[in-house]
Amino acid sequence: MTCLCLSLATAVTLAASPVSPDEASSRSRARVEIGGVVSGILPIVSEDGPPVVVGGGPSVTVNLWRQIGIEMLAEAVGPVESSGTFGYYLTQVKVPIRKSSSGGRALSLTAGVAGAASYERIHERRIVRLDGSTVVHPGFERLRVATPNTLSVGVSGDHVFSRHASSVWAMQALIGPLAGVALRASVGVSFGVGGFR
Amino acid sequence: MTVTARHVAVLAVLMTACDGAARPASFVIPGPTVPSPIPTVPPYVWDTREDLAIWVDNPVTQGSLALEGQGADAFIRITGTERAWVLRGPDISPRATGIRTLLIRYRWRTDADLSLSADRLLRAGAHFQTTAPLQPYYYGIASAGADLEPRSDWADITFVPGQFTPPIDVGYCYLNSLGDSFGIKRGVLEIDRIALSSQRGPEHAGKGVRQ
Repeated sequence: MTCLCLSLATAVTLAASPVSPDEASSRSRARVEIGGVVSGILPIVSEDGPPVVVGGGPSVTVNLWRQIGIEMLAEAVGPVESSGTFGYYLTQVKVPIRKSSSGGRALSLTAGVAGAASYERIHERRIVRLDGSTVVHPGFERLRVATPNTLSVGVSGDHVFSRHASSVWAMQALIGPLAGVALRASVGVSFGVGGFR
Repeated sequence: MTVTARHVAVLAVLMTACDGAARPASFVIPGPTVPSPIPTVPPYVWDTREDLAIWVDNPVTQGSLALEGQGADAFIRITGTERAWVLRGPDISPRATGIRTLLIRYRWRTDADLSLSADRLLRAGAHFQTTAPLQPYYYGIASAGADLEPRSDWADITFVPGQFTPPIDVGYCYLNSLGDSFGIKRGVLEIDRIALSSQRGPEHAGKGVRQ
């Protein structure tokens, strides 16, 4: 927890570093960006489930080339009819289609695949029987990650607002068993490892 | 390996399904033991006062129980049948093999003031501690239930532990009734004889269930 707080404090401090106009004019992506997003998913065609689910989680973007990046994110979502924590992961390619002259803003096409993931903690259960014996079902933790089975297509944008941080948003369509046909909208913040050059 | 190929490899790993933990095996903490003062050998019949005393006098047995009569005429008397009771048999060593049924000879007399419309069947259960789980996630207990009809004379009823349960090896058995939550099933249950058998149960035997 202490480590998490320190990381968060460092991130906020870095994000607050002002960016000068000269720097903004030559802004390009960092090789690796780490951030977090919150999202809402609106099912358009779905067999069952709640009308809207919201979620949030971390994201990592690796900019392979100056133009194309691969983003991986994992989100816990709710409400869902499931015990434990349910979520999904999304791996997608981001291809910039428009950039501002300063390089501080970019609009990208995204395409990727998503799959379900769940985490469950089962507590130990003891059943005392009539003969005085006790059946012990030990507690355990279970992480399940399904193969990606849902297509994600959409657009995303980001805006570098400091030396180390940018805001990000995305609007995507999800098509597949994970959500039926759904719209996903997300906003978040991303921190460039080593800063944006 | 180029940087691109490495990234593709990482992606391939990330896109592989996994199940992060195996369910740990459950286990049983044994209850109190009930050593038998007499050898437990086939045909596994408890009929005399000495035999039945093992079922009555042990730390597991509970309820309003008494031992009546002498010799082969002895029987266990259970009063307060509206409340729960348990009768635990002796540890069978070596374990009884190939067991299919448990039979009791009983009399069941309801209280005279019991309403004529009241249900007079007494639900009883027989439980067999087996040497190995009968199925995955079932832990060494095979159980059977039966409804005892009111009888003023001795009658036999057979408990069959599970319609499809193969013959089982048994370490000990116990009988029980949960009574009834309304406290109306008052009466006296008497058990004259308890026997394990490797014979198939009669068709009218109580239907078994497994836990």
